[in-house]
Amino acid sequence: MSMDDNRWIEKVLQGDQAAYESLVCTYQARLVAFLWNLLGCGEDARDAAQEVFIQAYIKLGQFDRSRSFKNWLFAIAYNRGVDLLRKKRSFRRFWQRESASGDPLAVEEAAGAIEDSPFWRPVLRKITPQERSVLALKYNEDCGAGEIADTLGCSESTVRVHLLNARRKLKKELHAAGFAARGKKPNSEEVT
Amino acid sequence: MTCAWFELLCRIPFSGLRLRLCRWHVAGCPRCRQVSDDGDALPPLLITAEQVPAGLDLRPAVKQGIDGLRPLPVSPAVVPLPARKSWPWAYAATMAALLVLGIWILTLDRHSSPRSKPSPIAAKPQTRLCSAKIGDRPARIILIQSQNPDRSIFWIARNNNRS
Repeated sequence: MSMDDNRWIEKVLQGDQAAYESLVCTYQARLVAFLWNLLGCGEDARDAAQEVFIQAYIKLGQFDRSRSFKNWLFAIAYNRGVDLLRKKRSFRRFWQRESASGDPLAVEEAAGAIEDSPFWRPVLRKITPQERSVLALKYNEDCGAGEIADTLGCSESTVRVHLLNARRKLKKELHAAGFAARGKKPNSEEVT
Repeated sequence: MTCAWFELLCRIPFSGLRLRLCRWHVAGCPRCRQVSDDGDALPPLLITAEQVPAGLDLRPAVKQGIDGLRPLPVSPAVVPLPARKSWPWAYAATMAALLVLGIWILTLDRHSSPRSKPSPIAAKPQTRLCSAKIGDRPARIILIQSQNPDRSIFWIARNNNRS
């Protein structure tokens, strides 16, 4: 873990709440990007990141300082993200049940409000949240299999399988969509 | 590229079994490990920290959220749990349980097979009505299934068949 993180954590634990802002400042963009990739929606990612920082602050005393703070923070974010996706799924199921008797237009509006965003590419939908997280940690955070396993709470072999599977699926989907040759950049969605 | 074995394993329809077998394969296959460790170029589908708008600042919201809160007290030295090695025992226990269950089912099946145990219906003497007449003419006999096994109900109807 970096010495800077260690210093800030020490200060926070001594009661200096402002020191926590430095940690937030260091990790906020990376955390939002990670959650954005996991959840597929910038608004949700921003809200979830706020909750993660608050949760991390409350649990900071329990943080094992022999571990990396970044991995610990991303582990909280991953669990929060997976939890949100589960809630979204139940909400969608609820609306689908309602649609059997209710007004179909209202149902469509409600489902669209929580799900869609311009960035959420159909290609990324084809891979599981675990696979998206592994990809985000590997390519954005430059983590090795061991670090990813530590963050997601699984074995290194599982990380490797998710990684290989995700690449395999993406390659297939991109090939089918004609993206591979062009290497087109996605549209980014404004979070503000 | 991953090896042909991995491609084959990925076609297994059951996700739990698929993950288990893929994991087992990747742990021992140097080629797949190499491919997974390589940072092959990925098309820019993922959102990166640079793509997050520069104006994003979570500090005010986080500050508001943690105002009045204090981090939970420092926990005593965390002793990491020993690595979980219980899965071979779990497998052995499951296999043993399946074996016992299999033997039990086979034994049960042998005891309850139709040859070894006569059915209650076969054991009881059955009442049969061979012929009936209405007036001088033979009548039709219809056996009506009764819920009471000790009772047999016969319906005798005039035979209208004139052929």
